[in-house]
Amino acid sequence: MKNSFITGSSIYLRPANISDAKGDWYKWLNDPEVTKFLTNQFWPNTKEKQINFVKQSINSKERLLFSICLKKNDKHIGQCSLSGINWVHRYADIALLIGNKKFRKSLYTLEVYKLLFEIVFNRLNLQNLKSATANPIVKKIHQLQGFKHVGVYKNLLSIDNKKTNLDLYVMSKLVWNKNK
Amino acid sequence: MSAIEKKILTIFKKILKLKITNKEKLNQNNIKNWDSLNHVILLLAIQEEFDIKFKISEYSKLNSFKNIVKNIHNKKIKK
Repeated sequence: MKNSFITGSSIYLRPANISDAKGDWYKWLNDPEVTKFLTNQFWPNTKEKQINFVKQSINSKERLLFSICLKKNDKHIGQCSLSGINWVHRYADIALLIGNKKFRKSLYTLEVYKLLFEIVFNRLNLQNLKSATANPIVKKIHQLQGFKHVGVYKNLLSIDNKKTNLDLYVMSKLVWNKNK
Repeated sequence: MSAIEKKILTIFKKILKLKITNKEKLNQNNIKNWDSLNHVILLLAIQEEFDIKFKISEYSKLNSFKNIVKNIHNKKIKK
């Protein structure tokens, strides 16, 4: 494992770096299958843009970027982040993508969430983790994990030419402690 | 086959559209349909059927019929 920040049973998370930005990451964000449910990724992406994004994030106190890697061979399969970290009110927003198609339907997603919860609630001592999603799979995952559904922007998005809701969820440290 | 196993097998058949029912072969590596979405749907259905709640740390370990049955037995004993 290379520079692991937190390790699970099959995967680990390490700080994202410039080499990741030069790899497959920027291509994942040009894949409509990956970006379908994202609210902020519709311009074509380039290696340069991705490198700039990583550079801007490296010293940020409001955003943490992690690369998702397989323990068995260090393969970089996706990205996850905590953004909009508010150190006064102690909350953050979660984002996660498994970019490598081969692993998109694997159970690694659930393990990434588990590791991010550890970082958010144990290491950073945040109190709430927010999520906004239109993705039906993520909604099911949140239901299982015990996220509270706190609201909805009705018909906010247009996905495949269909008006689609953006649902808002929160996981509190209290609930996580009960469900972990 | 125990009552718990029968109920779980019914859920497996419905969600994973199973043809094989040899419980020794019912694991995530052997069943093509057992992807992340179906895994979550499966766990939600089992939680509802048995009125239990899986822990976040358990999700990845519940990757076979055998492990799920064992987990439910343990939870029922503790209740």
